[in-house]
Amino acid sequence: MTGVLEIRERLRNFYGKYEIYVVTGIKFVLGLITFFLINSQMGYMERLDHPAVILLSALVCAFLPVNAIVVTACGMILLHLSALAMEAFVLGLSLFLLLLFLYVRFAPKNGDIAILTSILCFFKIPQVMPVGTGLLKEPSSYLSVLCGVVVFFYVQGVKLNIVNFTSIEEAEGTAKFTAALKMLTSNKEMYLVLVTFLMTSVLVYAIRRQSINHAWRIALLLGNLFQMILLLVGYVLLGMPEKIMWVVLGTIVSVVISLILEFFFYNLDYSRIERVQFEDDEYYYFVKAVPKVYVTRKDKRVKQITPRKKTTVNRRELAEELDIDQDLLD
Amino acid sequence: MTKMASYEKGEGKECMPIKQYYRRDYVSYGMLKTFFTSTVAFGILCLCWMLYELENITEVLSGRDLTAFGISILVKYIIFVVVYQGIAFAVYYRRYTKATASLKEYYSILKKVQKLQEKEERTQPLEEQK
Repeated sequence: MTGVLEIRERLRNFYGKYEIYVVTGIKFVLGLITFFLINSQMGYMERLDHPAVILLSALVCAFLPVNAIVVTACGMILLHLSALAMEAFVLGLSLFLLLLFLYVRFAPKNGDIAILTSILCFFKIPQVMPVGTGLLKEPSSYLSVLCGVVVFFYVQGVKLNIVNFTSIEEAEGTAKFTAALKMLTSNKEMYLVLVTFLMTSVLVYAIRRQSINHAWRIALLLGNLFQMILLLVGYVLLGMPEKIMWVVLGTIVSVVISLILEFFFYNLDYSRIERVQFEDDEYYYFVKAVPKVYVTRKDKRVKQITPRKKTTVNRRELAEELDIDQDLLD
Repeated sequence: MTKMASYEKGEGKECMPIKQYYRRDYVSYGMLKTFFTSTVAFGILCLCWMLYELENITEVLSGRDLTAFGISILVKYIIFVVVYQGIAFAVYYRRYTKATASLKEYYSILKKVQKLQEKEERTQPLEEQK
């Protein structure tokens, strides 16, 4: 355990020392994955579907605030949709505008959560997001997870119903638009995921705020269990048993990542709890103080800067010191 | 000094402009912006609904009194805007309170630095006299 704690301290020190490079690197990788996924999942506009575009966009976004990735990703999605069908583009634009006006205005700093949620949805393991945000963030940011889910389901829906948009028949002007809207509004799986994620985040937040021992551990375990049960029951009721395996796998990944988050952000030593009571003019305080687990780094080096003291003397030196003959010491 | 510099570059960048307003002005300004955005959002939602129902729009409207239909949309709009005004009030009020607390801390550090500087200035002439 001490070794792992030392690694944690080293990682923290490394982050503190090279923060600017680490953050830029993370943003670059996040941008790269996001733009690659958009192109691989959509790729309707050939000009945009090029590795150079992905690389260049990721590189530019790495040096800008994280919301630049969100804006670029939205732009890329809209461009792909415009190449596919105008109706899909209009609905996509309306969706992004609604998200911007109704939510992002109030919580503009949560773009990274929405992006991460969409990415993890593509990898079929989004369960970590509601638990992670429940542990680390305030309730106002839970809606950004839902934004990520909605965008994912819209992109996925367009991909699955591509025939509706590419058909040459133009029987009705608004038929494609109606199809696109129906695809989003009648997606029961999306509602299931949205409700489950929101409830999970709130549950995790409510438990981890409690003044109980191992609050984070209990919150993450119960949150994951609750989420898994809801999703499993939901998918069975919706008649989608093929999703069950991914739910279980996603929950396992979520538990592992949540434990890692707990280790980095909430590692407390409950064996050394101190309970203190004190008062001031207005209040009486009952304080429960739980110390953080902390180890100092082992790489201490003691450098000798003064000459070493001699602890032994030979016969000649001793005789000289005592001013006697050397033979007398025999 | 370092703390202050890091604050000015980070959190202070957001908090300082907020404190240029009185609380009431800041919250009202935020609510006004929200009024416009929520109106546009409601418009988008209405437009989507209309396009969705365009095929059956005559059927939808035929059996209804148009005035009552208009009033029902207006009521929905008012509820929508009022809800969002409530959210905006809570968000901007909280943001202002947070900025006040954070700037209070900043000013207390500023005061300390000022005192140190004054002390230094007072001691310097004495040393020069010697």
